[in-house]
Amino acid sequence: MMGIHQITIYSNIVAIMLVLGVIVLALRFRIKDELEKKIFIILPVVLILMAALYIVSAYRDAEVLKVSAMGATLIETGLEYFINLFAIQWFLYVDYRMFHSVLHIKRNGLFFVTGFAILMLLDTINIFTGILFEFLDGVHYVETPLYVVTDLLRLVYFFGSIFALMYYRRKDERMKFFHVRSFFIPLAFYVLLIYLTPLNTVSLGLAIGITLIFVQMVNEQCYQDAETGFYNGLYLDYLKGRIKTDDYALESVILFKFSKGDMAKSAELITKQLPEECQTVRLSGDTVVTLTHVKDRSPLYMVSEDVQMSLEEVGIPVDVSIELKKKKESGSEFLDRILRKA
Amino acid sequence: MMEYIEITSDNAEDFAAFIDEDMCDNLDRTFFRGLGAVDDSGTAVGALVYELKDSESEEDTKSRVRVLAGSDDVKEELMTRYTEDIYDEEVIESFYESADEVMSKTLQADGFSFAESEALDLPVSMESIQKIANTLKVTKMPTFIKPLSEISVLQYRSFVKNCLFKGNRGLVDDLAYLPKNWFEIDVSSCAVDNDEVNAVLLLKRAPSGVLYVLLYTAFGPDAKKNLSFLIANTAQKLLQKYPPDTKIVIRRHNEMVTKLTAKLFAGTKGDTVFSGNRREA
Repeated sequence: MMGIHQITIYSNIVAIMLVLGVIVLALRFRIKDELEKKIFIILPVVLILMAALYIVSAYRDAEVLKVSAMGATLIETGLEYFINLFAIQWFLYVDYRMFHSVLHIKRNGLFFVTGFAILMLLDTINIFTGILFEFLDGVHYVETPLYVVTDLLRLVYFFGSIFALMYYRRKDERMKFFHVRSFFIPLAFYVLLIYLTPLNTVSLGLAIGITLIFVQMVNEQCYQDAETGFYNGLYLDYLKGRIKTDDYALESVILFKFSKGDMAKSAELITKQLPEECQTVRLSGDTVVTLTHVKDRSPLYMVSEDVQMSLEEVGIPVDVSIELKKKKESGSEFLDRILRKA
Repeated sequence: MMEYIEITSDNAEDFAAFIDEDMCDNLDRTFFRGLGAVDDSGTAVGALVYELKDSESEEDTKSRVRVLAGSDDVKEELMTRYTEDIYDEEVIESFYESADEVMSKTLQADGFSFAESEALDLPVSMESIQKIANTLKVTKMPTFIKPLSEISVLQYRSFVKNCLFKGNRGLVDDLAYLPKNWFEIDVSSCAVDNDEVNAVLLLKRAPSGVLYVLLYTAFGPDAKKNLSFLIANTAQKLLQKYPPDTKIVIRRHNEMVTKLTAKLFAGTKGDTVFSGNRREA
């Protein structure tokens, strides 16, 4: 068997091993949003199936596996299905990661799926007609101009998702731990290799990308307090840097001081009352501070009333105080003042 | 001998000659203040109503003079007391916008600037609403679009918090203090996603029967789509509930609303009003 086919096989085996590791770790990994974890895990599962078919097609290309023209077409069609399935799952994962909204996925599912559903339909028709590609025998592969167009459609989807992600990342604090370049850089590298060399190592690029996404999920947890799920001192240091450079507009805080009670339970109740814009940090064992962009007292009063009421209902006493940044105070000076008070 | 008292919803009726019923209704609200003048016999002889803006933040507090009525002497004294009151509130600027030329002249004499322009308030007829309903014809309204009456108090409160934290309060500075039922709950619309409200179009029916559009906002991934559904739903509900002579008022308080109303109600203009401001000590 010649070298390039071996490289394809080995790279796909490495990809499978890599994502198997991700699956095992992800299943054991605790994450707040279990649905996000489930959607994410489907990615490496689909990738394993795709990589397995790449291995089979490499053996076919090397003529180690003898198949008929129909057999070769079916293998290639299976591969196309899994590429499309992976792409659909990627968009679903990213959409859910951005918006945490099942309704949004339902409302826009047609948009995500239509292009790839059309491709899958064409792939199916291709089995009987050769409109996209065909095998003259079990080995020699011929792609038609229509196949080039369908490939371009995939690229359009992918580039579109890059721009969408970059746009939402600027707007949404929740996306700060999701560096989409971690996924696209290895993928882009390996896609380029397909066009510049005979090598087909796309699976390895996707596997590296998936692994890096998982690493980011784990990394996000480093900034979280294990008991409460709030951010920890490490995150506060990160935020101080952003406040100093005016990248984060800190305008007000709500300070919670507990004298006793179940911190995990308190955290759960506080989180339910806080809008998503708030960043809540556990400063010490019994002190939690919520940082906000709000310049007005009334929403802060609303939140503090709701928190106090819900904690009192379960017998957890808490002192709540509100502070607004003074007009001539910088964000950093304000935060320092609050930390001294806390 | 005049006596100057606070006007509240309890005694607002006594000043009906100077304050219309819609403004009387506002006196219950957190940032509205009323000053009244009564003579020896306790008869109301003048009134001043003002509204504080940004008084609960560290930003500069402003005050909008809404009503100033009475004889010249009474108005002068009311303005003196007003100036003392707003000093305590740390108001840095007063302003007004009114079709009342007499009030405008009085304020001008008291140091306010003067300008004449088209009002930001745009009166809209039910005929225009019918056109919108016909244009945005939605054969089946999605189930996630609901009237305000169908969301719970908790959902409403949660939405208000989210809205305020995003800095959206529309024309309702005291949104945090207003209960759900203060709004017109049958005609006001919401979009609900995963049990949470993420878009609203809120109207208030004033005692005079005029409907004021007070808050029109949406957030989340489907914000733009929801905004269209809200307009369509509210238009339908308005036509079902109110007679053809009902007046609706939309205040063009920002660029977005101005562009939208120009598109939806092309050719409709606001009344002429007088406006001005004054820097306070």
